[in-house]
Amino acid sequence: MEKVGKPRGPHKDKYNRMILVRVLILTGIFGFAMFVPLVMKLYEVAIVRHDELEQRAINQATSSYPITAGRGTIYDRNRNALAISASVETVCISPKDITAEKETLIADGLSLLLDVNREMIVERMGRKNRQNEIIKTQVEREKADEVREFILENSLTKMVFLEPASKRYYPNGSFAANVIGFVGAENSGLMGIEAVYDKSLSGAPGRTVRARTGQGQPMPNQYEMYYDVLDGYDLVLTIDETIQHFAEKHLETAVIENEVSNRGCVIIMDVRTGGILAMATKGDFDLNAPREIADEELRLQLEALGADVYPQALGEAQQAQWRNKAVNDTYEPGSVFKIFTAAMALEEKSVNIETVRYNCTGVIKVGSHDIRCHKAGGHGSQTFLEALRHSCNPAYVTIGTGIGPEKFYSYMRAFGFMETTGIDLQGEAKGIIAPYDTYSRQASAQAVYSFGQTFKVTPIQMITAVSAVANGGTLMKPYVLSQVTDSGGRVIEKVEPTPVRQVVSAETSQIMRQYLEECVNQGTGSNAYVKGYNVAGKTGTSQKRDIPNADELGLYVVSFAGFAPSYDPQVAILVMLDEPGLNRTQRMGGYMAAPVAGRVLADVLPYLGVLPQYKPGEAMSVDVTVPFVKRSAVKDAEAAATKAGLTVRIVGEGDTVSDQLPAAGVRVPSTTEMILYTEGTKPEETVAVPDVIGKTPEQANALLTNAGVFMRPIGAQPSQDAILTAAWQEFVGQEVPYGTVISVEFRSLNVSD
Amino acid sequence: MEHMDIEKAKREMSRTVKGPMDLPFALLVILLNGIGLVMMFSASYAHAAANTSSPAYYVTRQGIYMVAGIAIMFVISRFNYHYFKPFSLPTMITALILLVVVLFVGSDERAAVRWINFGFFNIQPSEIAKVAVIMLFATMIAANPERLTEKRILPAVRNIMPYIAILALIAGLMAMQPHFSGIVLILAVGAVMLFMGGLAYRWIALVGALGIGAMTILITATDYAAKRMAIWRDPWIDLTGAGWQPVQSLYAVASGGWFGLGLGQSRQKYAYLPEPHNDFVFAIVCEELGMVGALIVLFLFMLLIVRGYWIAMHARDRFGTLLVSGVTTLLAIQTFLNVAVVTNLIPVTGISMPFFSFGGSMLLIQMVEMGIVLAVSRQLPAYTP
Repeated sequence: MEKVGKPRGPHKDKYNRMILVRVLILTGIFGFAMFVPLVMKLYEVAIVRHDELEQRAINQATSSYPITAGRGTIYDRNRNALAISASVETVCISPKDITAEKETLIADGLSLLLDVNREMIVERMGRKNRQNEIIKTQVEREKADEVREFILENSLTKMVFLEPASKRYYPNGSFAANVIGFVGAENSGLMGIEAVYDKSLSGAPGRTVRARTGQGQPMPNQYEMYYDVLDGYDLVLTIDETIQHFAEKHLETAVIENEVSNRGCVIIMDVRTGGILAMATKGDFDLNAPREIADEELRLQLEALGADVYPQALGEAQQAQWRNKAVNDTYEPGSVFKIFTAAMALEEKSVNIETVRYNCTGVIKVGSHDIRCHKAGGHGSQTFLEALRHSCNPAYVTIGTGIGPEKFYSYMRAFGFMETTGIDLQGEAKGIIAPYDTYSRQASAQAVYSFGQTFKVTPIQMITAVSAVANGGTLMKPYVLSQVTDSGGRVIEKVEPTPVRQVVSAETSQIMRQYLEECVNQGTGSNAYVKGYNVAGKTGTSQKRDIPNADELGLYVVSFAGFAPSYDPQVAILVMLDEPGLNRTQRMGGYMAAPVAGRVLADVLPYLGVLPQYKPGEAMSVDVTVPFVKRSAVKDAEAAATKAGLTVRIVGEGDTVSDQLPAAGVRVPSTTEMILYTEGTKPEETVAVPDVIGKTPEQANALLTNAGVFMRPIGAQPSQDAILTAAWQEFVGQEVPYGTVISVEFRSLNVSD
Repeated sequence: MEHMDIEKAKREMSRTVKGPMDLPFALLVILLNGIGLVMMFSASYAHAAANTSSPAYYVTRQGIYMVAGIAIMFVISRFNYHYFKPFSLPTMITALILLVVVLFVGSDERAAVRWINFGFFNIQPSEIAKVAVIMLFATMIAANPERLTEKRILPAVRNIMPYIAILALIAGLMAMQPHFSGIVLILAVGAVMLFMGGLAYRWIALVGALGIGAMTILITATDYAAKRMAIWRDPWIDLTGAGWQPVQSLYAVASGGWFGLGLGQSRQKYAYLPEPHNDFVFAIVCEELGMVGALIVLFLFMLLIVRGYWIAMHARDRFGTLLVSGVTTLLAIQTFLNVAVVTNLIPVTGISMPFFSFGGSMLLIQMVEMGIVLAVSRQLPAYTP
């Protein structure tokens, strides 16, 4: 079968050798050489790049699900919640798991249930290799339940799912808004306490890590890991909800009454610790809708703007309403600052308070400048105390000059006006005060500084310094956070009061307390008077000199700073109203700011359990409780009424009391005449309350008594200087039962500072 | 001389022979089949569990084919391999017919028609074509041994023409499927057959240069090729598309490290590596058994290949040498290309791993090839030092 041409002999051997060689060549290539690059590459991938690539493989195969940490609650000092986190849920879809036939159902269902844009759902559904696309965050329980039902009814498990999250609520809306602040996206604090203590409040989110197959199913033999979630800590503030409420209520009234156009603020501080009991700014905003402009008028103005400028204008308006006026803004303290000038003079003993007299002619010459007193014609000859009561500028120029510029300036520093107080709130501003070189070169600057003009301080600096004067001379660091606790109430951190320095001596403080009480009893501060509570304080009125044409425009800032009770100060209060309206003679701290302080303190001091202490003159008008005398003998009834401090008038001829006015248990002024009916009962008809606004106390009392109701005077007390008129009254023009007690607030008009 | 020729003719014409087969080669084949089945089971487990009725779906089928394949290997080995000569041309004709038929009735798999469905059995005509090329070329070369050694250009061209024509015909038909990785294999096997047939080195150099030139032009001239090259260099650039497979394979190989995650512990087989039981079983071998396991497998392949060439070298005649070197080289190239793809040494191309990848007809044809080698081994002349 051998074919022709088959090599034979040597030729055949040569051919066979050739074949042998070629098989050897193939063996070399395919049996050995071929494996070299394979092994090298294998080594490179499996060994050299092992760590890097395996990590990537693991990352790809594991998915990590965050578990949101609950944000801590913010409490007031009595553990009333000011900011709480409610459980909400996030609705998500897993586009990878969504089957084509369910797409329409899901898009329709979710857009309807959650009120979200259908296009958005369709678009997210299109990201086919994703497993966790968020459709809506902050879905509340009720809605979430509806979504759950939707998932179950249509067997959409895995395609649509919910994840727990939390939402911030502020139960009191705008309450203490500028202090508490609010949170932004991801529940992180943006403003106020929420921002300052964001770290403590937010805790640490946990995580679940699961191994997943390429199709998103759990791997059968793989791990799950949990990293514990650490809930945020709770904060207990020094703020007292009730006190804050009083402050806000009366500030809001004052802002409206006085047509204040650039907001106002009230701070109430515990003078012994520096803890802030209340810090109110009006107008404010709703913490539950912080981006909405709360001022209706402003909002309408903004909405009328064109789309090109609207966003910027809106942003500015939001920033403005978020500002905490008590901390972020500065103002000219005006005559309130005389507190410190007086304290410096006392501390330095640069005056003899017993003998010194200041003669005010209505003007004082400093260098080439004439400095005028607010009282045209001057106060005449005054003692040191009188000068403070009158808030006499020329006298204070003299007192300030007597201290000496260097000392004066270093006291300003010591009182904390040159530095921030360090309060635990955002964006604290610093006072605007001339550098020492500039200040010391100008005699006029030194002169006007002594009555608080031409420099600016922050309200928080002011109340801190006032507290120092009140508490025996120690400047305290103001603070808002009192405790950090965990969710079980265990105290994690407790803030202790921090004394900064002793500014003046206890003796100086002692004298200042008396003097400042006199300013309220019979001085420019008389409208801050609260019967029995020994309010001390000083008023201030300042033109806004840093604004051009402030005088023509009538731009003033009026304020009152004080404390109570004067014999053992507990709380300090600052009221500041920026750019009030009304007429020019009323734009006075004494007229506008002092009554706010009085109203707030009249509520706060009884709440704090401070017992009223009446001075001899006051005893006459102290409130007493009407005793129950019905059905007792007239003689006994008279004795009971007298014992209670009331006078009586008997109507009828009977022996026993058949009815009484006012009713038992009512608090009435001790000047009230009690009526005892011995025949029949008191008249059943109602009476119309006459309008007594603008009347003197005597006129008002006569009018009301004639009408058949009783008057309870509040506000400024009568004194030789004070011309009192009724500024406010209850139930004006309304029908009230016969014998009702009507509160009438009297205000002194001659408080020209 | 005459007597010997008669003896020889008798031998060549007798249907079976009784000599001992090469035991090392047979054992290596069975060993690799066994390891391959276990690894294919592990690799296919998750895919089968997710996509078929049973996690053992692939392994039961492959197991049956494997048993059948081993049986077929032994049956084939009993044959006198000279008896295959007359079947070489019909095999080639059958292969060509099937290559035409597949274009019309082929089942569509990833936009290419490569399979003919016989109901119980899917067959790739290109697999048959590979065997046909080896058999036919071996027969042709053995018939006229010195023709290919021709050094003069014109006679050389004339002599080589039939081979080139056959290869071109097959390649052309396969290009219509299209099935380029199959073409590469066929051409490589054809080239090796011609090389073994004594083709003069000058022509080898010329064809090699032409081939490299053509490849270079193909790679650089088309966007398609350029994109594939870019993805090969950095598969992460198209992670969700064409880069997915190489990336997942790299993850698998890298995750194994030296000693692997342990048998059955692959992460990548959970729907990350697409169809790990087909072309990427070796990636799972690396992931589960580590570099060490992979080297052992490669070493077994190396032993098998070297043993194959050893048999080729000692074959009784040229036809045997040609058959065995063709089959062995085909096995080697397939192994190389598969492992090279798995480790991203070369761009992704669909080449399965002998004995490891799932596929019944493929396995049967491979076992037929192994049977041919063993058949040759039964007629090795007695060892004479």
